[in-house]
Amino acid sequence: MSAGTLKCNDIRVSFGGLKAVDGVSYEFRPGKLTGIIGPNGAGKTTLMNALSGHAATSGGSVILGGRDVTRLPVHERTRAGLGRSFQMTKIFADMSVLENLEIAAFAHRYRVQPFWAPARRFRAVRERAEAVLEEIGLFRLARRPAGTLSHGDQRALEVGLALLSDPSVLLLDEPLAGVGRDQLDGAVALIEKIVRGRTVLLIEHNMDVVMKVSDELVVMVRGRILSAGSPAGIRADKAVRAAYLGEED
Amino acid sequence: MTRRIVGTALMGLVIAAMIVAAWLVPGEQGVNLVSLILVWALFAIGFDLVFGVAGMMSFGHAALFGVGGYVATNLMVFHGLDFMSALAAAAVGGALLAFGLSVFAMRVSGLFFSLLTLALAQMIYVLASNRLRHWTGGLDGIAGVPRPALLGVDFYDNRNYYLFLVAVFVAGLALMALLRTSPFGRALRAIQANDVRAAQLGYNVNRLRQSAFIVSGAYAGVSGALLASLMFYISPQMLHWTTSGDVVIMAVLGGKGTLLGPVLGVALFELLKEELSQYTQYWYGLIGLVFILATIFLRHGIAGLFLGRGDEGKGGSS
Amino acid sequence: MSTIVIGLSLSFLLFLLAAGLTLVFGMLGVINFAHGALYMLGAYVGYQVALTSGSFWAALLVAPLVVAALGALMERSTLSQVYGRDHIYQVLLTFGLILVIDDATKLVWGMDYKQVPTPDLLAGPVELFGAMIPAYRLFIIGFGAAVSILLFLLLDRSKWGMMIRAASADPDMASTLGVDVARVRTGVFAFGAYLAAMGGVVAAPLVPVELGMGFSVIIDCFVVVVIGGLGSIRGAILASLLLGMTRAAGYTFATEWVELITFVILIATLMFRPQGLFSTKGRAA
Repeated sequence: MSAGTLKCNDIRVSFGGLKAVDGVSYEFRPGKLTGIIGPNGAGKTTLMNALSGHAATSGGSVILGGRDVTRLPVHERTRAGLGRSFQMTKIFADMSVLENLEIAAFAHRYRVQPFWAPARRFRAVRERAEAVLEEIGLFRLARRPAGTLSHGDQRALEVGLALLSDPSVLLLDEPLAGVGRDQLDGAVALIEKIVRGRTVLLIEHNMDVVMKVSDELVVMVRGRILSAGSPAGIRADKAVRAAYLGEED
Repeated sequence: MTRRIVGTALMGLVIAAMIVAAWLVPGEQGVNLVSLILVWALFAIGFDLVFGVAGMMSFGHAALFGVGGYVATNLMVFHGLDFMSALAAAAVGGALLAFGLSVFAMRVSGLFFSLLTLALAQMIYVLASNRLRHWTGGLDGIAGVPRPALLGVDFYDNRNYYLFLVAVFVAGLALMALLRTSPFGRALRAIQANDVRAAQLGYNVNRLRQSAFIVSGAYAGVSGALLASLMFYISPQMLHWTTSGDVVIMAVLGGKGTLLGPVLGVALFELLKEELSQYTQYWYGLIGLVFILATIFLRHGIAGLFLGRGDEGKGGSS
Repeated sequence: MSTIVIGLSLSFLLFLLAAGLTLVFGMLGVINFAHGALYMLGAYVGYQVALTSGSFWAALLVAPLVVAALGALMERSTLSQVYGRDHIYQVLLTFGLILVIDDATKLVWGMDYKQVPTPDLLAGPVELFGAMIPAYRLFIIGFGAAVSILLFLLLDRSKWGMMIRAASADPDMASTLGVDVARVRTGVFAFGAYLAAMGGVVAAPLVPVELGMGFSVIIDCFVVVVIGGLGSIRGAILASLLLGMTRAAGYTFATEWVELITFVILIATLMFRPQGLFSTKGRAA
């Protein structure tokens, strides 16, 4: 896999009168993990939605791998190399864990889904799904219906699905949301493993984790970027501290 | 997993038994009933690709059914085309109309989609009854729809036509089985389960839904043509919203989302209709009652009984 | 002039019907396919009451109550069983109800057309702006307008309205606060049935009372509800006016195309503005 480039110019997203994202321009460093932090309502998830195509922009552009993808629908951005995991787990609950991954693998492998043979005949696709299954550590749960998994395992599957398209740019929206203390270390280890060599954007409220895994930090407040830089620099930044004053995290 | 295989095999056995039993009954009563069942079953199987697999509740499939029938009838009765070509044309006609409808209907989803398909189909019914009388014969319909002329066999003998229908049914069933287990079928099921995720994974959700619609249109068109030939007659009733409703009832009664469920649903519907109408003219209301009860208590239809699914979760897959 | 009156009377008749449908959808999230069947039932029961008592007014009073009771029964025995589930089960159920209601009506009243005579009080024409207008049509306009205002006030300004809106917005919360959500649901459904039946009685002197009347009217209802925005009373009023006036114009100027106009409007709205032409941000009214 290669580390893709992602750039956004003057992104604006409004909901009615509310400016959720108010002119965000940033060039994300390739191959690095950039954490996006900020108080609640700062527009972090909305920005991510704008980048992945889940939110319509009222201005600005998104450049993925040198290509302007602003007008592209979600599925086309995925095909262009953008992966995404969601804050609210979106998996295929009634299908087995392996089937979930196979579905992702088929999407990645074929633009037009084959209809002339049963799915199980496509060995290569199954092998790829099994490989990712292994990577996310859910091999022993392969046949279980995805909906019966523990929350932490579901979050792992969520990440696995995003991973299957071998994205050059990966957007992770609160991958640790709702993950209990006992599974936290495993989840963080998984994240560290999969982000190696990719360009990753991470939204996460757990500050310890963010500080630990991020190469860069972007601080958003009220729809705009307040500050950006290394974790150490951001921690020391007075403006950032002011913005976080009164916010519990 | 094995329960599903055993259950499906049992359903297949029941259907096979029905087909054989009809042939064994002397005279035409058996084959006539099952001929009707097989034609509607083909319609229902195609419909379920959209309804049970892709998860779109279309209330307008009568349009595809009827238009297929009218295309074939027109070509055969007014232009002397042979049966098989007319059948192919019916498939194409159904598929094209399905494509056209989908362009409109898929701009909206869920409830609005259902309403829009209902409205579009009913509009076609109104057009067929009045303005397009020249092609449809208006409310009187068109009589004299011919049977196939193949291999020197007299298909005007209902028993022979029955065999033809069995062959077409089996072919249609096999094709649908293949489609459903293929990556395409899986993609449709994924879209029904979580379309946001499916789109994020790279699936062109709209195009896939449209494809399902088009395939179901071809099935509906073919079955419409087969029915017209079975009855030697076609009328706008085939386009009426009650026809759309009937196929929905059959699919739900039988078990939406399963391959063989809708076939059993059709059989149950037609059997009930046949039996009840001998005792009362209110058989449709009684079927409505059965349908209501099934919707409340038998969530996965008859298939649910075979596949061991009681009342939990959503519809099954096959 | 007469076109305008016809248009207005059609509009208000349509509104009477659509109001019930949009209410049930807005409050319960259920699109009641059987709404047209309830309208038909109202007309038939109204016919029966008028026949037995000799009074149209008795029919107008009694029939909607009878149908409302039946509606409550239907909701309790069927819909309440499937509320937790996917919406499709509710749609399917109401569809099944149509079949039952249709045949039950056939059982009781047979298949021939029924006639409900216009009440004596309103039988004659009235002179208005130089044209002779049937008094009954004016009655429909007045009656419909009164009902619209009442509905608006009831839902927007009264305590019941607030309860209903609360129960629809957040049933769990409402029930925690002591609102009996199940009862509210049955009540709203019954009220929707009441309005449908009332529409049926009011329509009876104008249209032939027959078994197919439910379906022809349901499409119109859907159009109104979709154009007006699901759940909005104000939207339903405006949309009814649009449709009623267009219809009347159609009858006068282009009779052959009248039916198709309705479809075209519905299809166009669903495609280009599915949230409705007159939708407001809020829910009821």
